[in-house]
Amino acid sequence: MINLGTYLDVRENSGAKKLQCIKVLNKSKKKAASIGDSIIVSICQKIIKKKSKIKSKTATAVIVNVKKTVKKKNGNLIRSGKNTAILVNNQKAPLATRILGFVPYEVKLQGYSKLISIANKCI
Amino acid sequence: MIARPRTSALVPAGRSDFLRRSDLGRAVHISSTKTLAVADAEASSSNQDFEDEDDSRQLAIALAIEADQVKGKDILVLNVMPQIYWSRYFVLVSVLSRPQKDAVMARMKDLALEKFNRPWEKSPMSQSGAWAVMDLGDVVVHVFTPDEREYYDLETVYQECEQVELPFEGERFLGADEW
Repeated sequence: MINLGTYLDVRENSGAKKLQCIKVLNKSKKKAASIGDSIIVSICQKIIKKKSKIKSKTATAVIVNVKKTVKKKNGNLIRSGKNTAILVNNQKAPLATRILGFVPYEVKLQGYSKLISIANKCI
Repeated sequence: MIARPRTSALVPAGRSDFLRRSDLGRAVHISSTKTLAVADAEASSSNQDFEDEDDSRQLAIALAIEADQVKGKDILVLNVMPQIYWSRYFVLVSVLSRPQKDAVMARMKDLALEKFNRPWEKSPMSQSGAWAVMDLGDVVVHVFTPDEREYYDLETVYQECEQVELPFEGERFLGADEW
């Protein structure tokens, strides 16, 4: 459950290290974001890279892992130790070239096939 | 802090219907450093029902031939089954411009629907930008410009996968060193 003000980690090589949620997209006022939802984030910490695609302090991100237990369609329950997200651009393509860690299949069901193609593992 | 998986924490007391469903599903906890339990491939593969492998291979090769007829470059068909469970074949195509990208996607969509009865709905999320993706389940087509293809470098991610032989000699882009 990701709400306004939630801090998230980044598990990819775009250069960002820590994000803070400033807006949950496509949800009603009181609903929280979960795996596969997009949010607007503020980039709190980042590494300076030569070929970084991060141009500003805010960006759109897709939630990949949450601490709250989520039930998948096949009956499995999944939860993670950290809230993580992946930065995407206006065309919903990832800013990074590689995604570390596990990416849930629900991200693909939301239409983000590009993210899952560059991920290490998918569950 | 890494939380250890406790089934009692996941299964609320007094919910017998939840307990019956939990026989089929499994509790999965992913820690920040390593996975403690991963869902089986059988449970994961229940997400999609794939047809025979031969049909998938024929579809992938047919889509590659169609891309070659629209002058797509550096066409590659990879057998990604050993590496991932959610797909079987990847088709990678490079195009020179976005109108050519739209033409390739339209021809492939028509071919998949008419000859293989595979409908695919175009979504703005998969089409926009210099990288377009057509996800047919067992076959995934990636169409991008040479700059995007070099930036994301999918060939390195799937370098251990077998390349499928194609029945044509496609064209390829020359690098700056080869001129």
